[in-house]
Amino acid sequence: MVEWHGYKGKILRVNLTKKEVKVEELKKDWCKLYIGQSGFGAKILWEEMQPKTDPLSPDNMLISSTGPFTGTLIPGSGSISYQFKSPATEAWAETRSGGSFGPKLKFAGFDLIVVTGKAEKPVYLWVHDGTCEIKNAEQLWGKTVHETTDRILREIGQPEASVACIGPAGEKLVKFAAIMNDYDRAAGRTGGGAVFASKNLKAIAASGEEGIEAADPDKFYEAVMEASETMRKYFFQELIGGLGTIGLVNALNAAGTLPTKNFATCFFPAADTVSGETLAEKYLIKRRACFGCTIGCGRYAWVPFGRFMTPPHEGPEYETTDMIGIQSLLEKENLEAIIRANYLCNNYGLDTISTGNVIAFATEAFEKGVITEKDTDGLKLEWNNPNLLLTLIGKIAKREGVGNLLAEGVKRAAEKIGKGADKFAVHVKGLEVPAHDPRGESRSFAIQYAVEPRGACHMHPNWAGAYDFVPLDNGLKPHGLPWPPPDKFAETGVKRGVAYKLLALHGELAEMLGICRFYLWGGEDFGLTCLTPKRLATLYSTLTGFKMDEFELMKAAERVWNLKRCFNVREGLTRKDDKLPKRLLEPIMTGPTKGQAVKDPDGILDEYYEASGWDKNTGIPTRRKLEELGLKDVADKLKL
Amino acid sequence: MEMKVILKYAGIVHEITGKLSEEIELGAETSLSDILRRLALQYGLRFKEHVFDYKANKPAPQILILLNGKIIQDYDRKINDGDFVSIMPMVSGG
Repeated sequence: MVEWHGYKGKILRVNLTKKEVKVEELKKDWCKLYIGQSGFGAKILWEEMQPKTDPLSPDNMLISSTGPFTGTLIPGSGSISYQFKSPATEAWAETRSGGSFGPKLKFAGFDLIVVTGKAEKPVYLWVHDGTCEIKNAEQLWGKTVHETTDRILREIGQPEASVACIGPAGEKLVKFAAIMNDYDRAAGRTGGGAVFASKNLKAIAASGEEGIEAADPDKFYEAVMEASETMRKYFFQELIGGLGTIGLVNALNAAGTLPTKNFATCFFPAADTVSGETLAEKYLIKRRACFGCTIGCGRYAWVPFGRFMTPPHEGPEYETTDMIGIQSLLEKENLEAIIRANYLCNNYGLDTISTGNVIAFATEAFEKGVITEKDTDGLKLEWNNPNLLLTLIGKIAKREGVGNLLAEGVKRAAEKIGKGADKFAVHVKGLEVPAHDPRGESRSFAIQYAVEPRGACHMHPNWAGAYDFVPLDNGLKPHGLPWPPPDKFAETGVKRGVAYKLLALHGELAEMLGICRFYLWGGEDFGLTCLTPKRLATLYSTLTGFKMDEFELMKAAERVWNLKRCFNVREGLTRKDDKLPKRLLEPIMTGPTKGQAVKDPDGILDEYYEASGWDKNTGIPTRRKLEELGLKDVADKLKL
Repeated sequence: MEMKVILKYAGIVHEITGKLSEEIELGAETSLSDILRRLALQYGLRFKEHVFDYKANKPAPQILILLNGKIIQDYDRKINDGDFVSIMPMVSGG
């Protein structure tokens, strides 16, 4: 019998069609090769999913995975990640959340759950103490996220359990429906909520009392204490911990990189009305933190009275504030409307980034006359109308009227509308661009938005500004990070491809180990108070007993990053899909960065492909690169 | 010839100055360090300690100074009419 440390060593397999639950042993050799969380997800989806599977069919696979760090004493280890084929992009999907669902899954005895098939009627899974029960969820179908969570916790009689569930938006197969956990934590992107619903899966509840063993408890404890002491001096503690991510609003506005009015510009004169400072002054109840987190970026806020009255709940984040508020130019009763919108999205189970993006797109379409009141059920779409915005959120969640079109996501909505609407549909591969702009913040976003396998993402694999927006090395200098960083607007000839490759792999490590990415950012000039690859290697080795140094860990990250790319290649995605939206090639209209635009997206991409060992013409990893990573079988399958 | 420069503040700089933005008029041949020195004199010791030490000619740790969105390290650089100078804390993603 294998002794496991860090890992639980068990995969839970649930076939909803056959109502079968099986427990299988985790393969030991996967650990050093794929590490965990989305690394395991990539391996399973590559091996077991057929190409061109319909994402909303029973043949799609839904993996809920944790990493070896999840649920341990390591700071920032409250992590759950889901992998599947996305109904929005028809490509690789991964979506991550904090809270305590991931740790509870480990305490229940499992590293990951693989769900296949489709239940006859709505069900939820109750995962606990090494087993899984498939329970009737018919009475929960149609209920909001908060109500579903309350009812399940009452039914299972374990108030300390964690519940991951979908809301009405998922049930309506909205292409950007979220998987919510612990009431307000969102695995928002890529439409995981719709995949849940396509399986008649309403929720997963998890709890247990199994511990997680360390291979070398003394050395592990020492490494944990060193990491925790370091994180007490986290470089961004005052900002992210003190104000929450919404604290970015005023600062990014001052820098001229606050996306505004469907990315027409990056400067919003009324930014302070929706800032972290205003939230703290008027609506904040207290801070919140995920499991094991030393940063505590969560906000718990409310609107106690008035027409946007909202009960206490977690949020709003920076992304929500910008994408829902600033992109629609909310200037009247701004923050109250945004808080209300956040509460609605959390309860309907909607990704706030995609929701805000598609509403801003629709408003611009209406302004340009590309859609009219005939298309919008008589609604006059206009900027700066909070009531309208809240109405649209409801319509999207229920797929009512124009909401049915918008629920398809900005790519499909633009295709259906035609008339040049694609010119201001701001997405990559069908995933809506979030509130970080390559024109104003860093040209590294031009690489990330183009090549990230799930589409345009500001945080997967890493925050792309963690190099030249603020000069940070994150402990990557031993790996060859070009230093000092270039001008953030410089596009080619500055080794940006090399630098971004390392940033991406460091981010992938967080995604495989099961920690929050906020823990990755720090600079040698500022005490390197972050989880560098070196620190991660010490933690991994002492926890799991699998000895790996920082270079081997980064190699594993490169393996998984390339495997995800190959999943997409198998689905037919190549360089042609690594395309930035037209809006990001247009100059910023106002503010400190007026005139900035991405001028040479192809040149930037060429340099990144070269740094990564990918074919410049096709964007496909070369056979040589794949064999170097031990992925010869993948190269064979792709006939490279 | 008079020039106009737009200053943008955030974080502790906002706290110390009490403003998020202001415009100032300057003569030609004004450098960035001239502007920062003027602000330090205007806003007092807290500005010098926490934002820009004009005697050492460098910003406080964790302060970013941007010119039209770009990080600037040459404070003797001359400013042009209509330039934006952002003085703010270093910020992360999120």
